[in-house]
Amino acid sequence: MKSNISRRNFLKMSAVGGATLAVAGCGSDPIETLFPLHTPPYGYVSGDSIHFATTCQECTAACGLVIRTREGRAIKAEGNPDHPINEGRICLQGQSILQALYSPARATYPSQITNKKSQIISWDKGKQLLADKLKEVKDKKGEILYLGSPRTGTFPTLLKQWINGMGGGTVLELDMKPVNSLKHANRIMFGKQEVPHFALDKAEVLINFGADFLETWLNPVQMTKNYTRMHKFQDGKKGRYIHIAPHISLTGTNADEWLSCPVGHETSIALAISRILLNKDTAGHLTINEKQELKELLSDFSEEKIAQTSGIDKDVLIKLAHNFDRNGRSLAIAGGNCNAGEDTTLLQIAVNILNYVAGNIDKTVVFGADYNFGGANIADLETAVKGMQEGRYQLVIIENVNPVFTLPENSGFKKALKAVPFVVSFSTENDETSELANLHLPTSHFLESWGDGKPRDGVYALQQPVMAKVPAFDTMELGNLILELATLAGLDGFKSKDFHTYLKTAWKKLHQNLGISSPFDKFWKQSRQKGGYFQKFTHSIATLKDEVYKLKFLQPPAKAAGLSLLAVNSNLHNANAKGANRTWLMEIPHPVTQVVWDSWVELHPDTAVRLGIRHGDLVEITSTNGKVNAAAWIFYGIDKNTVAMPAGMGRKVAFPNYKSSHGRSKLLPVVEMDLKIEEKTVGINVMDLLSWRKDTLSGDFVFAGENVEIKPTGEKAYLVTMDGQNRKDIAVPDIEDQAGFGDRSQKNRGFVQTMALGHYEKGHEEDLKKHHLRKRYYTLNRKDKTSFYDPIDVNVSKAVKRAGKETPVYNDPYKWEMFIDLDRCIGCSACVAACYAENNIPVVGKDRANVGREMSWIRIERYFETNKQTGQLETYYTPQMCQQCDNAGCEPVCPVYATYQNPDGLNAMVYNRCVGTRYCSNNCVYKQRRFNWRSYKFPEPLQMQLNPAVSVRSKGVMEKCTFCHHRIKEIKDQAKDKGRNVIDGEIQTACQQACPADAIVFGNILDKNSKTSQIKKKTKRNYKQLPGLNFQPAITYLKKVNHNNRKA
Amino acid sequence: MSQLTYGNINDKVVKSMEPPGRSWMVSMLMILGALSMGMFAWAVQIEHGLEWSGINHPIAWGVYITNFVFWIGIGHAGTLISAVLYLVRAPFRNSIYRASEAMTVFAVMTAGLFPLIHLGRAWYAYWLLPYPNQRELWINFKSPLLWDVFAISTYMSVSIAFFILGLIPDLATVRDESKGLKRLFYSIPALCFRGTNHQWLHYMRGYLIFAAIATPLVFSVHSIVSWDFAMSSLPGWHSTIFAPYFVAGAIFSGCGMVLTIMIPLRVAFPGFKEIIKLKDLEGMAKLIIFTSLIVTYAYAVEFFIAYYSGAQFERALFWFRPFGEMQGFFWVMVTCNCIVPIFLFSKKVRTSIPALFVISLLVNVGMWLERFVIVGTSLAHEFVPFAWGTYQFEWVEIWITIGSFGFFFMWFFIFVKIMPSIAIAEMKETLTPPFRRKNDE
Repeated sequence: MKSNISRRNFLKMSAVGGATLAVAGCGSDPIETLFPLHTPPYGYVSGDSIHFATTCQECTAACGLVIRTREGRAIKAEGNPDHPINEGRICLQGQSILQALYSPARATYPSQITNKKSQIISWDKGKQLLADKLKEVKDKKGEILYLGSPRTGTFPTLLKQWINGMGGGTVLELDMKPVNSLKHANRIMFGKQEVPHFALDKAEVLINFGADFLETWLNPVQMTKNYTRMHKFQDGKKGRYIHIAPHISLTGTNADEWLSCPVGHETSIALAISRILLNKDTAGHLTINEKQELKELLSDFSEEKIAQTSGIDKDVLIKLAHNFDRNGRSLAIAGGNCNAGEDTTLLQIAVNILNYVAGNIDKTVVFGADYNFGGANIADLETAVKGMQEGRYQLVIIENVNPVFTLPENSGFKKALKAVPFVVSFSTENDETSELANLHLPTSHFLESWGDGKPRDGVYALQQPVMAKVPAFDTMELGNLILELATLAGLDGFKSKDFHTYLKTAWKKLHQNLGISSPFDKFWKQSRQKGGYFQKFTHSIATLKDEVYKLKFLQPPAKAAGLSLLAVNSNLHNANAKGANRTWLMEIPHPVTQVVWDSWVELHPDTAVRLGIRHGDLVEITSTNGKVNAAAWIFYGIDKNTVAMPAGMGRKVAFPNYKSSHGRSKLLPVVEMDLKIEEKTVGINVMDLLSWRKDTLSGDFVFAGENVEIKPTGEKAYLVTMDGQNRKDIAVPDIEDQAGFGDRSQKNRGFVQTMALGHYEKGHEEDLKKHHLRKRYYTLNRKDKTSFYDPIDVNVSKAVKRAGKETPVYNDPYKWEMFIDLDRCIGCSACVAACYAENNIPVVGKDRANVGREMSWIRIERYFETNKQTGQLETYYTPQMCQQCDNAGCEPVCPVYATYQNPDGLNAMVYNRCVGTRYCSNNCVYKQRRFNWRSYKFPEPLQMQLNPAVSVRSKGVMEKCTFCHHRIKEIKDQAKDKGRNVIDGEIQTACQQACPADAIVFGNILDKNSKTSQIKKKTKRNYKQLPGLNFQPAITYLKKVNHNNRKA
Repeated sequence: MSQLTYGNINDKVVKSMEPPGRSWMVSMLMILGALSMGMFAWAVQIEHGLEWSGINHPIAWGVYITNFVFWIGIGHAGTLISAVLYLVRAPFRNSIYRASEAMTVFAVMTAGLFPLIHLGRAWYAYWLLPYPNQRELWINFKSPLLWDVFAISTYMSVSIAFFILGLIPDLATVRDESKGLKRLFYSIPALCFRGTNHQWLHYMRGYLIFAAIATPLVFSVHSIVSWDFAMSSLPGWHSTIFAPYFVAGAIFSGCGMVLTIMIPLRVAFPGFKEIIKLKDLEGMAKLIIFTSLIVTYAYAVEFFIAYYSGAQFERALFWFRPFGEMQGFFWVMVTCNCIVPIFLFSKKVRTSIPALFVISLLVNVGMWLERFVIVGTSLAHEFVPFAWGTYQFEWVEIWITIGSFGFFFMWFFIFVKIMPSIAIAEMKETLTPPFRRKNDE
């Protein structure tokens, strides 16, 4: 990745950065039409991509970004490799920010809404209107409520100053993933109100009470990175991860063991484990007093009792505790929606106690980092809603948050908002909240704006505009707007001419405070190039506060009569619902359920059978707050008394109105005359079911434990999953499988192969027999019971050797190969999003996905395997893309040579030559080719995101993964210019670049020192898929390593 | 029943070529309706892409390839009857071979459309031909699809030439029976055939040579079509039995189609009833039994080999076909192709015209389904369980299929009105010449 920002690129970056700044920064003209490169900056080469470092503002994690731009337009988001937190990777949502930048839902002009009629106004008028209003409010001694997205860095200071200048008011940061309970628990326990650093990488054993840390909790990218460091297989060892929660989620499916417990029992389980440890007398680092007090505090939580209430066996708890006792090399965490009950803070304290007793504090739980994860607590919001209703707030400004959608109906927010005399929206997109505003002044997207962030102590992240404003959107940077409004309203103390200057001044101060020796200009330039200024944080020692002894832990709740609903976040959709109108996030299947374009409700098979529900039925879910219909997804990974639904769905998505024959007669013609972009609602908003409840101690919103009733409606749901086995109940139904879950295993076909930890030396042999092929009993010699033939694997390898390879025609020093480590892959699907972004892959919609027309070049295959020892289902993921075979099936069958073996050993695909016989797709045994069943439309202005290096395919053409051939070409050309060969690691495919778990390694196998060659030489875990067919794929998979041959 | 004479054979056949009546017109209207709907459907498909066919990922070949193989199969019977049965001197061939040959030509013409319809970019279909071009683009001779191009074009040209050759004496007869423009019209293809001893001598030699050339093609063309499948790597396709299995299947379906056409033809032209005798139809029925048994054997062998090979993918597929989601197609196919023809062992059924007609229709349905089962279910249930799929028929492919029958019958209806649909000369050959005693008398 380093090579992506070479010195040369830095120079270009700063040059174009300056130019962009000149255009984007002035902000005086109301409309800035983009004429890209009217006068190109010095040194600019058309066709070369330029990278800009900036900071992601999708959530408060504030990851570092590198945005690739081509011809002045941002086309791809990647992680900033210099950034200490996300280390060059970003999540799915981060990949999709380009769909937000070019979102068809973005507000085009400033508008005034009077009598429900929207009227376009000029910026001057809009600003004046608001400034007058601000003055009026100030004169009347009214207050302002500013509801914004959580931000860190300079802007909050400006805003505070501004609000105070305007006569005072409240600033609230709205985030539906708040971490107040975590902060609160740390304050009670250690007197530190902060989010500490969880050093997953230093732990050997991880117990997770339901935090979806690989999906949305805290910074999932950083968590994944660290988790992989702990859990990867290296030197015959790997960490162990135990998931204790009512719902398994994507995170839980990666665990080595999953212990299911009812909702709300996590606290008691954590305390019981702590108690076992306390009684074990190994907790030597505790003072006698601490021990005594803690023992007393936990006296009610004996393992026998908890085993009875939670249903987890006593011996399991004891074993778990012994395992956890690693002298500071273990870690327990909790949080996220799954744990967001009314006693979340108590759970966090219980987890803290567990960590403390096991000696993890200051070792794997490190204070001093002070991660900034935002979000006001619900109590403050409640006060604000009350204030709105009572007329305390004369003016409400809402900026890039959508409380009308994300807060439940009975929060009263919508009603209260209507009671406010004047509502202003600063939101970039038109959303459910901005519809209710009196004035909408759309601000620019963060990729078009200046800003900064401070994700943790010592990380000063700079956010710079990566391109001029997207044409057709008449917007203004938020900072500039605030500053100009201050001038218009006649406020003192806002001297800066724009936010860029303001930011620079602030960074000058920072430069002084940090005591950096180099001159400011150099510091500023460097920060812009590197994405900020990064330091390590200083550890601070945590000591136990007495306050904790006064706490009263409640006994776990008695078994409730109904079902408990969990509104869970996933890496595709979270409760903030920001990504819920981005088509990539709708189209990419949810990794566990593989559902696309829909909401679903997860039910345990036993519960489903009890309620008379089968997989795929439409069910009615009723809570005290409402009633919705959703498809049942029968899944073993959930507690019997719990149901789960994805949060953050149910928003409107702009999508071409492709006609479909779904549900119509197959004889009547369906003809598409014109294609329009229409808005349609995708899924359901789970918030409609939830009550307005909060955690008693910290005030975090409660996502878990809403009591619901479920009954079948008697209809089949229109549920579309990408999981081929169950597309239409294809799998042979098991007689005992009354819930219709079906067989979703890989049927012993060896796509995902595993091995037990400790069996490493034995290599493949055992596993091949077990996983790959069966023995042929009918060829046994009756006399001595030996087979007439070689064992099948031997037979296959002999045959493959005999058949040989087609003679390669390499005339390059390159042969590209890929290694995918299934032990690292967590199934997060960030690679899929990266591929969509990189390769101009069209989104096809639900109807087309339903009939197998999805276009994704890479898919995460998810298999549920039955463990032969335990009888439990285990979840496995494998990323599958074109295997670039040496003896490819697709090549010989193409009558026109549209696909052929290129000199680099890739299966090249010539779109222009393809006539569309689709024989290649049939003969691809990995089923990795995609056909353009129509010419797909990219709703404007999403077409601006298209990568000019990759052609957009039209109807009738076959396509597939190319190993990012354009990237290879670009770097090869650059290397050629320099008169050398490509250096290993210089080329990164989009999927490899995106992978937060570093599961994908790509490189030249002919280079003896490349990472791929090294892996090939050293590993004993390698296998190829379907080896018996002798296709000689260029992708080698590395086996998943399981503890004791089992997994969650 | 009157005795067949040279004279009344002429009369009967020439009578069938009288200007069309109302029923012909109504039928033709329906046929053209179906054809135009099919053309409209294809136009929609070209405009919007293949998404209005049920073809999908992973079943990238569907109804179109099924139709292609089906029509090629139909196109087998004609040449088989006219060439192979000619060489082996099967007597029941004479009355039916002309119409079957016409059927062959039209079926192959129809079949030839489907590779084009099925292409993603039909407007570039000429890229499949090896034509010289400046960009030095060439075709891939490794691809079985290309073998198809050559096999079918060869078969089609030989079939057409053979068909025209056989027509010469009859066209001369028709020429002699007609007047004015019509006479001129027939005199050109009749090539001045006057029925001299000399002409007959050369004609019969030529016919024999053509029959000998056409015979291997009967076997080669469907073998090559079968290699479209057998050369791939898929379970259910990758099989050495495919060539003979497909040829037998093709003859089976072709004979079925011959009966489907001949029986209505007898009804439409009552004069034909005496020419196309029941025992000729019975001969076809016997061929159907024979080929049905071969096909049944092939099915059985496929299943046995799937079991015996121990290859799990084969086994899974051959489990999926009868018991998986798409089992309906399989069981209807087995019923039509293996069980229904068994009834033909009974002489009573074999000689009952309605029974023969129903069975012939069922054989057609069964053979269409056989191709669909081979194409569809194999692709639905391949190596990667995650990429298993299913098939849903869509309106465009349904209408194109109906339209293809329209296309076929349009030609056939024109044929029966402008050409002698019974081989006059060969029918006359079977008669005892007047004023001569029969050998056995």
